[in-house]
Amino acid sequence: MGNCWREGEFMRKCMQRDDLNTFFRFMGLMGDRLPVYLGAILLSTIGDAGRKIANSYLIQSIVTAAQDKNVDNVLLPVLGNFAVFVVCLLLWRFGIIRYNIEGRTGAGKVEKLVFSKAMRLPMSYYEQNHSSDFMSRLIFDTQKASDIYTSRLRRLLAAVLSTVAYLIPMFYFSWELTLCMVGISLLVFAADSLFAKPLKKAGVRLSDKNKVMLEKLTSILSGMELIKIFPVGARLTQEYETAGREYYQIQKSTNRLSAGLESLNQMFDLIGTLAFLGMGIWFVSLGRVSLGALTALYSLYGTFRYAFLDIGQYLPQMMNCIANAEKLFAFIDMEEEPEQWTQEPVSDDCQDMGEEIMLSVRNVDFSYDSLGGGACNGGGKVLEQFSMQVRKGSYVAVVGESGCGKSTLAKLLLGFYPVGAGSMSIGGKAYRNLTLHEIRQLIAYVPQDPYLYEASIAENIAYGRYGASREEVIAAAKAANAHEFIIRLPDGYDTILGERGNTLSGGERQRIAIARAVIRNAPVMLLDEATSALDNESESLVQEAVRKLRGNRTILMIAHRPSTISAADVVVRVGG
Amino acid sequence: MVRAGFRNGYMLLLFILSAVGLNEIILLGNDLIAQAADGVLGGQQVDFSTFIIPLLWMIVLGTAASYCKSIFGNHYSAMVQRDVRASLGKHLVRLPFSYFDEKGSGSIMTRLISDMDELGRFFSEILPNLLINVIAVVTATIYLVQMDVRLIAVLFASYPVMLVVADRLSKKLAWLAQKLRSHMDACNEKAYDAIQGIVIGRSYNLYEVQKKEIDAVIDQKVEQACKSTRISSMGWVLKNIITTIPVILCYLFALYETMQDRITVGEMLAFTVILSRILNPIGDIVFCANDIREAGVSLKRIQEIDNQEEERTDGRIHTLSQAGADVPAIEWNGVCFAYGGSKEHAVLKNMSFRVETGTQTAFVGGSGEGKTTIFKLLCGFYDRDEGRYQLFGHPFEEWDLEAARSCFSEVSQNVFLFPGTIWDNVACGKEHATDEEVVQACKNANIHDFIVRLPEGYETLVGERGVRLSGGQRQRISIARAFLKDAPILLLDEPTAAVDVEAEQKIQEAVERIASGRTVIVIAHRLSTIRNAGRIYVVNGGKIAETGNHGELLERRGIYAEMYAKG
Repeated sequence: MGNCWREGEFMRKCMQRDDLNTFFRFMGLMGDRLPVYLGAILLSTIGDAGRKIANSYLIQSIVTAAQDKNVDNVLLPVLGNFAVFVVCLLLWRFGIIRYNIEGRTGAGKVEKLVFSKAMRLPMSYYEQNHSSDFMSRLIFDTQKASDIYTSRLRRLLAAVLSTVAYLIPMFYFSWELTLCMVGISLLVFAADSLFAKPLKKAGVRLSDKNKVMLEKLTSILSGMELIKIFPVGARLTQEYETAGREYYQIQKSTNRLSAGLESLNQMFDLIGTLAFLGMGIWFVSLGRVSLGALTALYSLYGTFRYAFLDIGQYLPQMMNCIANAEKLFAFIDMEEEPEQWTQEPVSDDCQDMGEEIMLSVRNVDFSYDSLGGGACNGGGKVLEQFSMQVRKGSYVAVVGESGCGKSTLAKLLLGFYPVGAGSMSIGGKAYRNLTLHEIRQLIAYVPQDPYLYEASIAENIAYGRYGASREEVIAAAKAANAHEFIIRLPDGYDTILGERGNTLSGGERQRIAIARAVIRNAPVMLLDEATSALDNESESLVQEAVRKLRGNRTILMIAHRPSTISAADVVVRVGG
Repeated sequence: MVRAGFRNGYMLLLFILSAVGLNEIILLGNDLIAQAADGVLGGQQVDFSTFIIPLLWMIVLGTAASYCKSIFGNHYSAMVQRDVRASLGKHLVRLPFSYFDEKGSGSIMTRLISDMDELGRFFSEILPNLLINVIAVVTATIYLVQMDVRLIAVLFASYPVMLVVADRLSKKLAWLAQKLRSHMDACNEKAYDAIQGIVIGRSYNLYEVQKKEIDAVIDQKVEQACKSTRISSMGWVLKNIITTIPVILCYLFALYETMQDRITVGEMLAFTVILSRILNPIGDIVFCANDIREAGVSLKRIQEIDNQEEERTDGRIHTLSQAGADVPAIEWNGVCFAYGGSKEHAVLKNMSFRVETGTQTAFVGGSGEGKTTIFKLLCGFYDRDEGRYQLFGHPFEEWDLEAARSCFSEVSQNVFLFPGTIWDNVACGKEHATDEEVVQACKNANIHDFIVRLPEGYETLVGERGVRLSGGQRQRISIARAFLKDAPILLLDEPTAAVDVEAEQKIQEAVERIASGRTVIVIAHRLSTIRNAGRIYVVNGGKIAETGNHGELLERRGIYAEMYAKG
């Protein structure tokens, strides 16, 4: 009740040119469906306004009949206007359906554009921005911007168009009274916009305080174990209560403001209604207007007033959505990961590596500084003059102090980042001559904390190679020591994994990830050993799975445990 | 909650009074105009100046009533919410831990937060709107009854149809909206999933595949939206026709009554005006019913939490000096326990052990064998189903819960950090901790150096919007907390995630420092670090399977030796 106010802020804030450009660009995304979309808006608006106008004419004919005490000619206009009313409704329906289809399809287009963009950014972006943070912002902006298609634009246009549409018969009924009503509506409009700014400020303060309050409540609930053991319960409830009281105080002052606005509106409403009727009767007594026209005018005035005030409410909302669209465009215009980091072709000088060498890294320098903002270490070179050669079919363990070196090497091999200096090759081909797609096609990667998608286990494994059959999935799972536990699950391979694959233990997830790598059947297998949360038993199962894969593949294992190192053919030390 | 609603009831009463007042003023104004209209139509010379003064009065009073209505209604809502929050906050921390554990605090949280929102909406929007609508309809009805009973009879006779349709429609619309909502969620989840797993997506070249999947979900959503719009727009058309027909009938009947001279033309004018005023309220009352149904679910759930029994607060506060050093810190005899009391899924079956004061004791065993449950029972988060539990020589049920818990501090990697500064997070170990104490605790926990190197030092924010700390850093913060608390028994949940060698050393050092002179109980996930424990209990099948120190257990060649060989 109280917190709903009309924003008339646009009186001060004219449409900026940039906003207009953004708006046109956004509407442009609709492509050749735009005329149909706009036409549908027009049609639905005409239908809606027409039905209300028909209603007012219907009232006019009835009241006129009452005044004249003559019912002979009343049935025809009543039925006629009712027919117009129904036709207008059907027009409206036709328009609104088309409008919704076009609007939703347009919104879908925007979403597709945004989400596919979100998957094509350089890896550094994902490392620097927490996925849940930027995704929730992105989804919010997309929804807000799509609102332009699915509601905001129509509401605004409908309000403007129908305001004009209502004025025509109103002036026809009585231009003097209509002018007077428009004058009062303008006053209401001015009063509303006077309140808009302080109310908006209060709204921001309220939502800020609300956030604080929620945070305190969240602290209580998620810190329950701590509250039981440490003496913090009293403090936390105290904080929650204080935040609640502060919220209450702001609510109270906001209430005064919104009550002021509401009573002001009510006052104008009363003045409008009473003055209108008073003046109207006076006009009737002067014979300038019929009672029927007066009643019809009054019934239209109500609808006109709402439509008119809606303009003040919908325009700022539209502007807010355009601001979201602008953020969206900033996202869409971001640079994507290129097909290839550098395109200058180099001769594949394979003289120092015969057929036997699968991976070769020569004098590679790398630092996160060049990417703008480090993912770790803050600065300095992570790899300096690093070289290694890996034979085909060997099992190599990469070790080194915990820092960034080892995992960075894996990321460089996957082409997540361009190397600073030096060169790399895979299967005898220089990285510079390969597209990132080609490079990744040659590597099957198992990250330290493997992500499992919210899909069935079979689908998760099949992601390793597009179009893999169920038999191949099962074979891969067997190779990865995962088959046993999968078939013990109630839904077996069709078990849908929950958020972040939480229903499985660390070791089980790791083995599914290995199955995914196995099915890929790539010449190089790159594993970042899981360090976390593997109990002894699952750890040995994972290790056994890796051991089974030795032989026909080249395995590069980033090792954190001594037991892993002992199983490897070669140990490569990074850093230090 | 209901109590809060009644306690602030006087505000609601004031709100109702002002709403009634406002409506009466409007009706009075109508009456005045109707008389004037009749006068004019009757050919009288109407002196409009006699109308000006009462009209002005009405405007002034109406504005005042409107102000009161708004402010009383909103204040009522704010006051009820304030009271509910205050009592809920206090109540929540006194609930037994098991309540949160069983329901999963995450789900309680999301539910509670959305329920609180819904509660706010109920008191600030739904209830006042309902009251306003009812008041508008009732006052208008009373006015019309005085004018012509038959008019009101026609009006209400034609409405039941509309009520049924509106009710059906609102349910259908809610259902459609919910369906669309779930499509939207599915769509966002899919995109979210792809981005969270971007490392996999990128390294497996899944872009094309995932794009196709996401596009398909979006297309489904669009299709659903289009289907919804066909149904709902037809619904609106029907609703409009069905609501308009009674109105036209009312107008025609009013015309008939005028022709019969039962009402004057002025009254008919007033009737049409009032009709347009109460049409929307009548429709809204029906739609309100749906809102109330929804709010009712939330209110019921909050009520449910409200009705949950709080933890016991009886029991004695034992001081530890009464107990000699020879009294075991903890003694369990035949303890049985099952979550939710279901006998078939017992976690602990007849478990007995002793923890001597001042020694180190370790529990080992496979995952899911109930090691964590032992901790929960020790702290009194759950009550055992059978058996005896003595803490420092006193039966646990004689202890005051708070006092019993003050005997324990816990160190683990999964500690919860409150959104706030590091200082706050450490200082919560002890009430009224001084700056020196906090710094000293951090120094002891080997985390001080790390903290002061941060740009904002102890004032650095942690939690969702602050810096992310590694498992090792979290663990050291929990050690600092434990130092501050200075409890006689230390529960040590061994780290599961490996940290680098340097950090590991620092943690080890800090753990040794805090362990000295205390009774330490370790839950071990890996067996490398517990060799020094004085006594090791091997948990298997909810029972203690083997006991002894590292050497003894290896010699037994039992479960422990097997586990050790594997690791």
